[in-house]
Amino acid sequence: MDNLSVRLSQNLDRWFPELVRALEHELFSGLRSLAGADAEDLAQETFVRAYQALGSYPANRVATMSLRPWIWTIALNLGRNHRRALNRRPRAVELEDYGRPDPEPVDAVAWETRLRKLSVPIRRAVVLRHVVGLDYDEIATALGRPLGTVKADVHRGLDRLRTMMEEEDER
Amino acid sequence: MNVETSLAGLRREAPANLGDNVDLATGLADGYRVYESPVGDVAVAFNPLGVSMVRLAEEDFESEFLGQNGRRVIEATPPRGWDGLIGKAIELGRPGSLPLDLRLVSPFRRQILLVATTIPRGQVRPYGWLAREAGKAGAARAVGTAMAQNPVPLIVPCHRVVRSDGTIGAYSLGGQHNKRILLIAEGADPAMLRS
Repeated sequence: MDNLSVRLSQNLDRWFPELVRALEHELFSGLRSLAGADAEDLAQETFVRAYQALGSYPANRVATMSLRPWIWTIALNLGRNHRRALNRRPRAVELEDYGRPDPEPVDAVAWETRLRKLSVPIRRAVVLRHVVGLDYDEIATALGRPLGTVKADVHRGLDRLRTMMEEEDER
Repeated sequence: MNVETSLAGLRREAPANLGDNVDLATGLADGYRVYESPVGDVAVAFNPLGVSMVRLAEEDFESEFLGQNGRRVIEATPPRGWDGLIGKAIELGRPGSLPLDLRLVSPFRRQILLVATTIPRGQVRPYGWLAREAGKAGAARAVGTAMAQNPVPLIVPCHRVVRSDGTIGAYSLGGQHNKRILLIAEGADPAMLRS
């Protein structure tokens, strides 16, 4: 990823699709857990904002950027309720049925329900750590919160999730 | 299963279209859709700025687009409202309120194209007339080049521009044969259109 920021600083249009390919799955996964059905629109809008921002920054700034936490800062700022009027833009033709994603497994739905019961800061920290796979430093940067707070939020979130599962088992 | 492992199980593939939609929205790629016209199916390319190319819908359209514009073109749905505008623009032979992306066209040629859009349906004008209207009397040859390189034929009706001696002249969208078909479909007098 470090190498990619240097490349982006040299030729944005050439390398931006590489950035999308590198981050689209984790971005979509995290947004799916945080924003449900809006994930695809939000992921697209995140990348569009990123492209526009990268185009406006001086090359030396782009070359030294930490792209993963930066992308997440954009995604989280777009926010859960920020549905965009994306139909002003062209959209790629839907692929055939065999190319469509499988329906959500029951287990994933259950986990998304549990995650929604966490407070927003804790949910974000847990998802960025354990669904997306960012390290704590990256999460602290993405969320603009102190490292210690982020670690505490993740631990608190995992505890709450464990408690929820125990309570479900008892029922 | 522990909580951490279960959360990691929520990772999944992004929708297959996401990368294409990002490319379309950023302008790194254009979209295109095929429309009917009197000269057969045509591929119409578009991006957030406007319609960027019209060509006969042939197999090499995507590679021709890449070669001419330096970016990919992907089969796509036009922005909301544009589908009807594109159909209408092809039917009437003028852009109407459909935006055009003429970034790669020089200011002079863009002006010539603009003048061409004022020629009424079913009528023709000689190259020299366009040159005069654009304030460049004597630049008829340059007008010919501008017409030959019109990225959006049918919508900018270069088929209504003929040679000063009354012969029909060249046509980039499939040659003289198609130019004649278009003009006759518009009600022009075929006797006026010598080869």
